[in-house]
Amino acid sequence: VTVAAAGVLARSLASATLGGRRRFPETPLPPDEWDELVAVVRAERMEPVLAQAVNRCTLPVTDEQHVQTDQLHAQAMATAVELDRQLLAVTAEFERLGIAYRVLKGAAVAYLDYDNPAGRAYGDVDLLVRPADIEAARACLADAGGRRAHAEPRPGYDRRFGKGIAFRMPNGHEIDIHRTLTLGPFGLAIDLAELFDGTESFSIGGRGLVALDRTRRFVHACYHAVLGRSRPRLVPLLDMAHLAPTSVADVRAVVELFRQWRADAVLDAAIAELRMLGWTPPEALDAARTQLAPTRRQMHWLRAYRGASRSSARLSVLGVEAIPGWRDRVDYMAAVMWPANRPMSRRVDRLWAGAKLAARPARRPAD
Amino acid sequence: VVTVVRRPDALWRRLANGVVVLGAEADHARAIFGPPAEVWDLIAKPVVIDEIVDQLATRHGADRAVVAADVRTVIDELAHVGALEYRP
Repeated sequence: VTVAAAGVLARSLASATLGGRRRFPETPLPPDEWDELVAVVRAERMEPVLAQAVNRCTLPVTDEQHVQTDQLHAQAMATAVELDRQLLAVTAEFERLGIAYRVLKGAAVAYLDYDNPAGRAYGDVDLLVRPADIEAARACLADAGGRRAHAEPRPGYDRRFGKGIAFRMPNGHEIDIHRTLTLGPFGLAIDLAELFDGTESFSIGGRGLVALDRTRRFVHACYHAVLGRSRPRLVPLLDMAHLAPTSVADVRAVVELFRQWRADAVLDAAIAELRMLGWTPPEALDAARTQLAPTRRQMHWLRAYRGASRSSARLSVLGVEAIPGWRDRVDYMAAVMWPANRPMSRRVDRLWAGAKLAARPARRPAD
Repeated sequence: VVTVVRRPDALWRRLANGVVVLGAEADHARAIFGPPAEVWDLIAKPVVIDEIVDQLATRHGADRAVVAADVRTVIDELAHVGALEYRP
């Protein structure tokens, strides 16, 4: 029994929810293989997918495994509703302080894009705020007892260049305040005013909340699926499938954002990944794919996000390529290569590491 | 006649075989599995408890007295955690 085998089965389960034709075991898994599958399902937050497969008899299970599946799903949903309460509390405070926000990923997608919010598990609260509000949002969470995971490299970095700030709250929940959608050059290439522009409302517990509009949620799902980890995660891919635009006008709006944000390569890769999962893209989206024009620089960026060689240091160094203006580039590189909050020895280590990574490959592609 | 209804600020998820509810006065969510979870569906609108009992007893072909006791337990628990309210 290997984690890889359990991973393949988890992919098959995800594929089945998209209508993909996969073969499943004809008898319940033996205990050790079942335990491996459960471990992968929990790591990937796929409890709803497993529950659906078991309750629809796609995956044969023993009675005991069936009970365990329902318990896993219930635990995941208990976490989700507790996070929803955290979300309501934080956004109420933001509203009181005049901080505009957009709910990202988990709760927004669960309520707006899944037939039943119980179809989407999540493990934290994600909120996008405007760069100008980053410091106020940060102070708000610190006042509520939140502890940030990583110190700000240099004053002003969070507002000018950061992806966002992760806070661990006193109750153990994590709240991520986002300035942009992803780390590194693709995140820095996003027009943040444009990102904040399109909105859609939803409600939790009778209170109204603001999310990104469907176009931007789809774009975010693509970024999350392709750029979030070295290997694409399954849940963001499923989000993509739920959010995929079908009309020509909607596809045009999506492609336009990817173009503006120099991310044709991301959309192309995201669709390819979802296809490999057995998904058939809507016709209009598939047609638009042929019009994408990923540049060599985009492909260079994309390679840095994916595979075993991914490192946040490399992505940070590459980020400078997406920053316009001499002054901002200088300040960004100073923060990345020589963070003011690190002792001298760490600074030197990081400087060397960053320099090595930046030098790979020797020739940078031009746009 | 007193009715019971979900509190609008209760947070919940409906599962295939149960429901997870976080009441306004609870720190943690709790799960209800099996037929008792159907109580949550029935209190989406104000309803008298006897009507809930009748519906579930009929639906499951169960003894009314047994169902009444189980429904009472669920209602009391949901009220305790702040997930439902009584309305005249």
